[in-house]
Amino acid sequence: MNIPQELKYTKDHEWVKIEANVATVGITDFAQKELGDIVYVEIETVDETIAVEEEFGSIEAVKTVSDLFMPLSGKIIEFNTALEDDPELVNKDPYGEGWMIKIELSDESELANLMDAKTYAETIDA
Amino acid sequence: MTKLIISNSTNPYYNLAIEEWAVRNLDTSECDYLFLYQNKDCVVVGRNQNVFQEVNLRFCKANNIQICRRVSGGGTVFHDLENLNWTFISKFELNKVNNYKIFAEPIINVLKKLGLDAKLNERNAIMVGETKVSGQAQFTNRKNILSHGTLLINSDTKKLNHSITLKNKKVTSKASPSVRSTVKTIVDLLNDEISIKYVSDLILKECAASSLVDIENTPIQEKIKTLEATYQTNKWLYERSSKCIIEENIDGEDFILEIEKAKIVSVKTKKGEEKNQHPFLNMFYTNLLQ
Repeated sequence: MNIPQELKYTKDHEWVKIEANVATVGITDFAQKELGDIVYVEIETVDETIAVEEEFGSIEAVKTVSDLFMPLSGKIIEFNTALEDDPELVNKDPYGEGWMIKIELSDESELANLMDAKTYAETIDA
Repeated sequence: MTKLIISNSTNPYYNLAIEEWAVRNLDTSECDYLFLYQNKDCVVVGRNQNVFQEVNLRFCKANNIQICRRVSGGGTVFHDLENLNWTFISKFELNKVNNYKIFAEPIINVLKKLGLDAKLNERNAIMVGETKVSGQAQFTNRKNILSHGTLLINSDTKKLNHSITLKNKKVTSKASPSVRSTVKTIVDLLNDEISIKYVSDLILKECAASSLVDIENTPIQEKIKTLEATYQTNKWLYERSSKCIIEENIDGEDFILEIEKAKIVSVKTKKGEEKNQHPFLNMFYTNLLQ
């Protein structure tokens, strides 16, 4: 199981990469394996400001649609439009080309609530 | 314990709204929920499917078959009053995602009691021999999970096939197309006139479902009605369809239409001649979208 050390994680199996006050978000290798073949990523919330744990989109894998939740509060400044044509990038490269959104953070103190790689690994028994 | 949700309506938009309200709002910490319902004639596409690619809109409109889109993934299904829809709602756990076996088990057990050798195939459809009797799909908001399916008790399979078969046209898009299967009804397979009520009662017994969830309560009804309205919008039903190319023969002439957000972007003849202002075509599609 690939769990990069430099990233932060949520209980909903999302990863977060922080650069200045911008967070790049995707789902973990564990999550993409559990979900199976991803056929659709729906994110229509670019430019919206959404609170932590609120829904920002959804993902369809096999025949199951799952809501996606904000790992941190902020404004969604970018959606990975490559996923519109190639949602399977999330399966192929969850931490790279399969990234989903970029959030401009509104409350950096929330970063303290995220898990580090070691803690996340324990939650999935990896 | 399993609690039961009952709908007195056969309006598909209302019943789909109950499902979404239920999965987003019910407390699953101590029990699961089972919702059994029937709909008037309708075709229900998966959340992210292309309605132009999946549905014979002209046939549906001519035959008063309503077009619906549901919150869960997967492919297109047909409902009529002789089809039983079954929905389980339970607490979210990762091992329930794409795990259709656990949710289909009571339904399969009932079919076995009726004398049918039912099992899941690799696409998680419930099969009796080589024919499909039920298709399944799921939705989760990561608090609860909804897993639902159809069950063709005595449906009009001719109408079913007609409503999801495109005539004289080819549609290509990036959306996931349905995987078509040969279907048969339980009544045909048993060669016996069993009723929906009889099968429903067997399912309730199998799930030991009791104690009703009150959805008639006014604040809940208001929420369901709001959802029901969104389920009927062109935005949800048609505009969600990804862009597509329709190759269609209209009045003896071959056209290539480019559709995006349920609007015609361009119309060309097979020879590449632009027909952007063709009034008949625009009228034709406007009518379909009502």
